[in-house]
Amino acid sequence: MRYQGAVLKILLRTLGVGLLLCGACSPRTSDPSVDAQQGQSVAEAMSAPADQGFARALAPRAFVFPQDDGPHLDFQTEWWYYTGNLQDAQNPQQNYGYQLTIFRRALQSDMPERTSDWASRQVYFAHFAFSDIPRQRFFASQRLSRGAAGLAGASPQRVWIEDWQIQRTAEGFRLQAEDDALRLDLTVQSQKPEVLQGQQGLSPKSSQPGNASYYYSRTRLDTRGTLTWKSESNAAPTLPLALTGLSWLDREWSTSALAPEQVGWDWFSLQLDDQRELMLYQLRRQDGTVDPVSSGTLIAADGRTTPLQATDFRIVPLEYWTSPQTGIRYPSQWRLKVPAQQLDLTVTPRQADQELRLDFTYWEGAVTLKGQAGKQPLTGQGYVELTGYGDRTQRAPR
Amino acid sequence: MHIQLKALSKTYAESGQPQSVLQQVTQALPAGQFTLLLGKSGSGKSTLLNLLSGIDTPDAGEVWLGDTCLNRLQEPALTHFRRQHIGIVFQFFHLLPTLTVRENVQLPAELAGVKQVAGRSLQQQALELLAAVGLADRADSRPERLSGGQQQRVAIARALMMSPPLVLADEPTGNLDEQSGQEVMALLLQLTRAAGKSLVMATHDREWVSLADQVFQIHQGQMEPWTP
Amino acid sequence: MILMRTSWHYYRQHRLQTLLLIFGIALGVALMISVDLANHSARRAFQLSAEGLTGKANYQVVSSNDQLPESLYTQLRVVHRQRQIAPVVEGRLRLKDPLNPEAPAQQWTLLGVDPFAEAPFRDLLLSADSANQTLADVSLLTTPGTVLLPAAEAERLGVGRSPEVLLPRLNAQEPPLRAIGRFAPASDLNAEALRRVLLTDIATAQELLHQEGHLSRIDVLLPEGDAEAVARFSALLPAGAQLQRPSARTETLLQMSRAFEINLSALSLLALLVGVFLIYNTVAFSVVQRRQHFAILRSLGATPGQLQGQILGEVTALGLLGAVLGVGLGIVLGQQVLKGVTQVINDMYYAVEVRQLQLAWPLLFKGVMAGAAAAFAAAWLPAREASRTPPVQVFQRTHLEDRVRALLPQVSGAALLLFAVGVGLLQWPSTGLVTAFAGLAGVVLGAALLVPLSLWGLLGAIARSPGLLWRLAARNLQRALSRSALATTALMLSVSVIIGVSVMVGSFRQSVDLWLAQILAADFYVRTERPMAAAAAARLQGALPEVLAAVHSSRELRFKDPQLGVFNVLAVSHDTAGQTRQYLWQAAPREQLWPQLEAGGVLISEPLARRLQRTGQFNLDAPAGQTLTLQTPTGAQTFVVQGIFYDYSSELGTLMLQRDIYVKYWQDPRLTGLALNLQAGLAAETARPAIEAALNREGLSYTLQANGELRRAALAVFDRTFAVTDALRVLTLMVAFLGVLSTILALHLERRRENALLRILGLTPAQNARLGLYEAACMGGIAGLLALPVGLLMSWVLIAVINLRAFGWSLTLFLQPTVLLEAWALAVGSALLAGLWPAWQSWRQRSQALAGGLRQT
Repeated sequence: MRYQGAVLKILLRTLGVGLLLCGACSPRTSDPSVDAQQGQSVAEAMSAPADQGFARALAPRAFVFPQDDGPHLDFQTEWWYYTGNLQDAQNPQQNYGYQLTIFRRALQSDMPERTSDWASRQVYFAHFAFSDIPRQRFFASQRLSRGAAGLAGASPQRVWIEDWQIQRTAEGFRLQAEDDALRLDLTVQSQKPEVLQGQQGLSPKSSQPGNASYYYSRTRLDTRGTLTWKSESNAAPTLPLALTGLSWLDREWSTSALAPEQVGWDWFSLQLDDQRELMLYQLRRQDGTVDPVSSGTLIAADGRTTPLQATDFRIVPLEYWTSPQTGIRYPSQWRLKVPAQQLDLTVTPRQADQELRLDFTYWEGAVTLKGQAGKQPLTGQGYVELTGYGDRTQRAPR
Repeated sequence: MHIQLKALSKTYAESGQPQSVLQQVTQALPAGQFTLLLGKSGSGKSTLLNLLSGIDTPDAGEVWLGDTCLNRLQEPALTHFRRQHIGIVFQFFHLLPTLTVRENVQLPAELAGVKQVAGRSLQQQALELLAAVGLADRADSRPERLSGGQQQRVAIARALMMSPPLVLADEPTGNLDEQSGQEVMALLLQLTRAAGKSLVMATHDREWVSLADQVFQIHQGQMEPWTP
Repeated sequence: MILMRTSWHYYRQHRLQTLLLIFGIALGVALMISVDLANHSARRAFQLSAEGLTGKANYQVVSSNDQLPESLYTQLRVVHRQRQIAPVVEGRLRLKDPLNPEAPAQQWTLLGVDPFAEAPFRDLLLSADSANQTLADVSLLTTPGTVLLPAAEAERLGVGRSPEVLLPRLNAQEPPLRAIGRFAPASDLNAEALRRVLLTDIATAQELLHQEGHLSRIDVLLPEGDAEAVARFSALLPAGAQLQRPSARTETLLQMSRAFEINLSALSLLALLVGVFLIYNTVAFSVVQRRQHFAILRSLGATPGQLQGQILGEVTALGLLGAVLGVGLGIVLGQQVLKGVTQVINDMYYAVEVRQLQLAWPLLFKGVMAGAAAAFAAAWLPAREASRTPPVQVFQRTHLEDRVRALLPQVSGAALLLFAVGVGLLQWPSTGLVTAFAGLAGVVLGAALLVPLSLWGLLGAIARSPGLLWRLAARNLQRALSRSALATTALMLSVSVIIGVSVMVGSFRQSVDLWLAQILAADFYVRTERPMAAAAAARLQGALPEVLAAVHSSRELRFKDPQLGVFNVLAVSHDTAGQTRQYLWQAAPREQLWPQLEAGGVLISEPLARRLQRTGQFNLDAPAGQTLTLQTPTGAQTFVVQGIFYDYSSELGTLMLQRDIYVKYWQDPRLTGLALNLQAGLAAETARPAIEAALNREGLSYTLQANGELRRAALAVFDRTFAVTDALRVLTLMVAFLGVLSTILALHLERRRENALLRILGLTPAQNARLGLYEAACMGGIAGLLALPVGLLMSWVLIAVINLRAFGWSLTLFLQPTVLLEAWALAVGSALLAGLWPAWQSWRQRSQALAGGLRQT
C-alpha cells in the first residue's frame, strides 16, 4: 500500500476529521473559497497543487548509507516497507507471511519555530499484517501518531511508531511489532547490495518532471526471529516460535501528485529460488489499460539490475477471489511473462484472504510462484499488493 | 338646637330595585325638644338619624342644624362639627372593647383633643357623667363585663361627654330587657331635658310616645306627625 | 359543593387578601426554587463540562500538582504498549470578544489534545467534513496559536466565512489566538456544557499555557470492573502520579463550593419560613373573618371534619396555585441568582460557564410540594380552631383572642425550650454544618415564638402612653394579637436575618481588610498566569537596580495529597509579611519562624488546620510538634508544623514553606508570583512603567498590582461574593413586608366598623390615617427592636459556629451601631410602607360613608 493518498485517507478515517486530507496545500497557499465552493471528492482534493516548499525528485542522486536509511524530511512522503515469507525453523512446512510498513507524511513543508515538543509537521503511520498460513488466519493492525514527543520518528538508526520499530543492529535491522494476537520480533540481514530502482533510484510516476520518487530496495533479506502468540485468555503466554525466511525492503520518498485516470495498481516483489528477484508493478487506468509508466526490475544473483519497461512484461489474472467481508473482487492468481528474460511464472497466493481491512482496505499477501526460466523449472515466493479493486479513491501510482 | 330638614330625599339601591326611603321630607324640629320618630323596621328612621349626624348623605335636600348646613361641610369640618354638637346613642351600644368604661366615656373629648370640658378635667367630667348614670364604681371595668343596660348607660354618658346640644338615639332600648329599657330611657330624658338639649330618638316601639314632645311617623318615605 | 361556592364568593370578595395569600406562597417558593435551581445548574454545568472534557475516559492519571511530565505518556505508550490512553493539557485563558473588544474578557477553558490519540475518548473532532475544515485541521497541528471554537461561537464570529478569526488575549502583549475552525460535540447537552471551551492541539496548548514538557493529565480507558487491569496500570506509574476516577477530580472541585451552596440554601429556606408565616397570617385571617359564617354552617349541621376539610382543601388549592406561580417566578429569579452564583464560583472556586438554568423536575416538584405543604400546615391550626369551636362561642368576637392570650404561657414555654435546644446544638462538640444550622434554626424559632409575649408586653407599655392614638393603636394590636404577633414575627425574623448576615458580612469584610493590611507588605505584586522561570526574578532585579530594592519570589499551586486532600502549597523565598502576619498559634516567636521554615518546617493556614482537625489528621488543641506527611513528586515527605496563620484567601487551606525546600521535594523551580519592594522614596506610580517594561521583556502573561490595588481588588471580589446574599436578604425582607402588609390590611378590614364608630365619635380622617400608621409603626418598631438581639445572636452563630465550620475562618465580630440603627429603621420603614395604603383609605373616607361602615359586621 505504497501510496500517499491512501495514507491520507486512512488518517482521515482514523481521526474522524478531514485532518491531513489536503496535506499538500497549506492554508496560506491555497484559496479556501475555491476549495469550499465545490464539494470536492477526496481524489480531487489530493490532486490539488502541491506545497511548493517540498523538495522533489527531479534527477538521479547519490544514495549514501546509512544516511538514506533515515528520513528525508524535505520530501512530503516516505516509507519503510518490509514484507517477507517465513517458515517455522523446526518445521519448514509451516509457512507464514508478514508485512510491516511505516509511512511518514509531512503536513507542510515548513513550520514556524515551536517550543512544545509535541509540535511537528510530520505524521507517522504504520500497517502490520501477519498471514498464519497453517491455520489460514490473517491479522492486520495499524498505528498512527505525530512524529514528535518520542511517539514516532525516524533516524538512520531507528524508525518507530509507538511500540513498533525498525532498529539498526550490528548485522542488519531488527523489526518489532505486535498486535492483540501476536508479537513478531525479526532480524533481517541483507544478502545483496541495495537495488536502485528506475533510473539509478529515480522512479518516475508520470511524464511530468518531479512527479517521481527516490526508490531503493533490499530484495533479499535473510530473516530470523520469533513469533509469539498472545494467549487469548490472559493465561501464561505461549513459548516463542523460531522462524526463518526471506524479507524484502522497499524504501521510497517523494513529493508527487496524482494522475487522475489511474485507479490502482498490482505490485509484485518476487524472490526466485535461483537467487534472482523480480519487482514489477503495473498501474491500472480507469479505461482498463495499463499506464505506460508501469515498470519493473530484475535483480541478478550478483545484484546487477535490469530495468523493465511496461512493454517488457505481461501480467494476466487467472483466478479471482471475492472477499466475503468487503465484497471486493481481487485477482487471485496470475501468469507473469517477461519474454526478454524468458520468464514465465504462475503466481499463487498462499491463502486467499490476505485482505487488510483497516481504515483503508487493500490486499497484500504472501505468494508462491512456479514456472520456468527458459527451460528450467523455477519456484519462488514473494509478496503481491493489490489496490483499487473496490475503493475508487485508491487510484494513483507510487 | 334647631333642626331643619329641607326636601330631604334618600334612595337605596336594593337588589337592583331603587327603593325610596325618604321623599322630599321637609320638617322643622325646635330646639330643646324630645322628638320621637316611629316607624317599622326599614322604614327610614335610622336613615334619617344618619342624615342628621352627617354620616350618610341625602340624594337631595339639606339638613340644617342651627345655622349650619351639614351637607355643605367638608371633611374634617364635618367631623369637628359632629364632635362639638352631636352625641349619639346606638342600639348596639358600640363601646370600644379595648378601652375601659371611663376611657370610653372620655373618648370623644380625647378625640377632639380638648383638655377640659365645661371647666372640668376630662377625668372629672367622665366620672361625673358615670356617676350620673349610676356606674361610678365601674369606671375601670372593661365594657364586656357590663350588662347590656349598663353598657347603654355608659354609651349615654359618652354621648354627653362633649355636652352636645343635640343627642341622637337609634333604638337605644331595642337590645335591652324591659326594666333596663325603662332605666335607660329615664336617664336619657333626664340628662337631656335638664341641659336643654334636643333629643331625637328613633324607635319602632310606641311605649315612649307619651314622653315625647312631638312624635313623627316615617311611612312610605314621608315624615308625618303621628296620631294614635 | 355549596360550601365551595360560599368560599369562592369569599375569595372573590377579598381579592387583595387572596392575592396576597397566593403571592406570599409564590414568593417563598420562588426564593427556595431559585437558589435550588441556581445551585443545581452551576453544579450540573460543571459536571457536564467536566464530562465533556473528560470524554469516555474511565480513569485518569494525575499528579499531585497537575503537572505530569510528558515523557510519562510516551513511556506508557511506547515502552508499556498502552493503547487506550490520551494526553491532555488543560488550562484557562482570558480572551476578549473580537466583536465587542470593550466587553470584559471572558474566561475560557483551553483543551489541548492529541488528535491521533483522541478517537476512543472524545467525539469533539467528529465534525463537518468540508474542505475548509481540512485546512483548519492541518493548521491546527502546524500553525502556532490556532484553536477550534464551539460551533455556536464559531458561527457568531464568522469562522469559516474567513479563514481565521483573531481572538485577542486579555493581555495585549500576547499574540491573539487564531480561530480556524469549529468543533461540534455530538450532543446538544455537551455543546452547552462546552460553550466556553477552546479545542486545540496539545502542542499549542502547552505553548499557550507555558506548560512545555508537562501534561495536565492522561485520560485512560480500562476495562470496567477489572481490578487487575487497574492494578497493572497503576504499577506502571512513577511516584507522584496516580490513577484515579475522573469523577474524583470533579468531586474535589465541587466539594469546595459546597459550603457556599449550603449557606445559600439555608438563606432560601429561611425565606420560605418567612413565607410560611405570611401564609399562616393570611389564612388565619381568612378563616377568622368567616368564623361567623362557619358557625352558621355548624349550626346548620356541617360537621367539624367537613369544615376543616373544606378550609384545608381550599387553602391548599390556593397554596398549590401560589406554588406553581412561585415555580415560574423562581425560574425567572433563578436566572439572576444563577448569575451571582456563577460569578462567585468563578471568582472563588472553579471555572464554570452556565447560561441556562437546568430545570430539574425533582426540584420544581419539591418547590410545588413545599408551597402546598406550607399552605396546608399554615391553615391547619386556624381551620381546626374555626371548625371545632362551638357555634355559640364563635359569635363572641373576643373568644379567639382570649384563647390566643391564654396560650401565651405555653407558647413562650415552648420558645424557651426550643431556644435551649438550639443553644445546646450549637454547643454540641460536633463539627458538622447540619447541627450548626439545626441549632441556628432552634435559636431562631425559639426567638420567633417569644415574639407574641414580648409584643404583648411592649404593646402594654405603649398602651399606657398619654397619646390617645398610640394607646388605641397599641390596644388594637393587643386585641388582634393572633395576627399582629405573626406579622411582627415575620418582620422580626427577616430583619434579624438582615442584621445577622450584615454583621457577619461586615465583620468578615473588616477581618479580611485587616488581614490584607497585615499580609500585604511589599509595594508591588506580580502574578503570572503560568509558572515562569526562576531566573526571571533575578533578571528583573538586575534590570532595575535603581527601582527595585528587593524581589521576592513565590510559587503557588493547588496540591492534591491522597491523604490530606486538596490545598494550596505556597513556597516563598522570603516571608514578606513575616513582620505583621498574625498567628492562631506559633511554635516560636515571630523572628524565629523563618529560620525554622528554612530548616524544613511549614506553616499552615487556619482553614487547613481546621479541616485536618475534622479529619483527625491534626490536633488544633495541641499543635506543638505535629507533622504532616505529603506525597510530594519525590515521594512521601514529613514536615513539622511551626505555626498556624490566619488566612482568608482560600477555604481550601494553604501550606507555606520555604522555596528551596519546595524545589527540593517538588522538583519544580518555577515561579508564579513576585513581591517587589521599591527603593526608598520611590512612588508606586513612578516605578510602574519601568517594571511593566521589564516584565514585558520577559514575555510574561502577568498581572501587576500595587499594594493598594491588590487590596481593593481583593475586597471587590469579596463584595461580589456577597452580592447574591444581599439580593436574597432583600427578597426575604420583601416576603416579610408582604406579611406586614397583609396583616395591616386584615386589621384594617376587620376594624372597619370600629373605625366608623370612632369617626362618628369625632375621629378625623387624618387621625384615622395616623391611627393606622401608628399600628404599623408599633409592629415595625417592636419587630425591629426584637430583631436586634436575635440578629446579633444570629450573627454570632454565623461567625463563631457556621463560618468556622464551613470555611475554617475565625472572624472577629465587628459591630457597627449604624447597622443596628439601619435595621431598626428598616423594620419601621417597611411596616409604615405597608401601612400607607390602608392609611390612605382612611384618609379618604368621608363621614357620609360612615353609616355604611357602621352597619358592617
